[in-house]
Amino acid sequence: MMADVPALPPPADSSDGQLLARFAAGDRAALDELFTRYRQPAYRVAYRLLGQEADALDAVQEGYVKALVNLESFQGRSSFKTWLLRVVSNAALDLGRKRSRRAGVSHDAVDGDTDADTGLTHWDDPARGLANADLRRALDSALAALPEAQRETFVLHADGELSYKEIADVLGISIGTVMSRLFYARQRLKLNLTEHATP
Amino acid sequence: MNHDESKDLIRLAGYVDRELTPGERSDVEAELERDATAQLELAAQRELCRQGTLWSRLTPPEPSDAAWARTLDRIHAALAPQTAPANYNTPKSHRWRWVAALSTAALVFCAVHWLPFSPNHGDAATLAGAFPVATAEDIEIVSIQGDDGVIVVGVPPLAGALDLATVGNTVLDVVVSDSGDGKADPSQPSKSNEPILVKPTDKGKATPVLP
Repeated sequence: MMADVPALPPPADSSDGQLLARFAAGDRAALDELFTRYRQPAYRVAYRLLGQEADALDAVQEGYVKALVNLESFQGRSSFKTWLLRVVSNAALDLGRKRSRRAGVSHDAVDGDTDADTGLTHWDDPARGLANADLRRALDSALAALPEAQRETFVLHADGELSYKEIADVLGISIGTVMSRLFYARQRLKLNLTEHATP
Repeated sequence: MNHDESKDLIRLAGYVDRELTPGERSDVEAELERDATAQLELAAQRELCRQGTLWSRLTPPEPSDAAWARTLDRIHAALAPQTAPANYNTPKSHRWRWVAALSTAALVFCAVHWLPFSPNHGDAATLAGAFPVATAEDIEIVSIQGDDGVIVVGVPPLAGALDLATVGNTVLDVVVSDSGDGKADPSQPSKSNEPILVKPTDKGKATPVLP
């Protein structure tokens, strides 16, 4: 699925390695750029695993902090994005266990209003937002019903846009296990969504 | 769906995802050519993966710029100790190490120079009141009063500082006649047996002061 769309390199001048070196030298701007570069996939993964924007942002924050504090563990064996998503997904799962997945799914985006103070929700097109909101809730419910391992694997592939091999590296499992989990996750999602759509 | 069937389907899903190795792809394509059922299964997997693509395009609600900014600020705050080497705020643990090292050095210095068991302690005590009373440039009187007259103990110029005596023990010397310029005249033997008083100058030297 997402592998059909070739991943474009981030539109930036510096490589991740250069940014990490600048970060290690105390350059705050390097962290800003790393954040801007990967905040979207990190947030999407965290959101899919948590179902709440505020929780997802907490997981993104914790993921960035842990990923950068523990750069020694990273050691450039994978891309920084892969390393980051690994930490973010772990943080999200930990957070989800702690908070027991508040209310099950996200409903905070249904109305599509932007809170000027908290800024938690924003849609450019309210009509599209409302249409997407129903589908999103259905997907959130279907995802929530997946076993954690399948959910994490699916989210890393669909939202993190990681390859089988990257997911295998991230989760410390074989590529065959990744394929198997993805396959069964899709089957279950289809089933869950069908059940959700059928009154 | 038995084990082999699911294994084939999993492989087909990998094929659709373009995640198979070239060899695996060739195997799948060969099977698709000879097995019509496999083609149907492939179509089903394509549809499943397509749905997955659609799901992933159902993007979560996008956080506002303010929410992103707050998140970034919190990351900066959490990483502050790690990101400050350039304008380095020495970590507290490192500061304590420096304090400990400097304190130890100070204690060692004191022990070597001032404690009673220091090997130099005796000399230091003895020399506490000593001072160089003259340098070679200052020496004009090089004799002391002996029983039988003048005993020459040095010939100017003398190299380096000459510690003639301490204040305590420089009490007796020959009295030399005043040549009128305020200086002692070594060529003249003592006439009055009055001592030459020696006192330290502000330069740490001593100049004879004629009575």
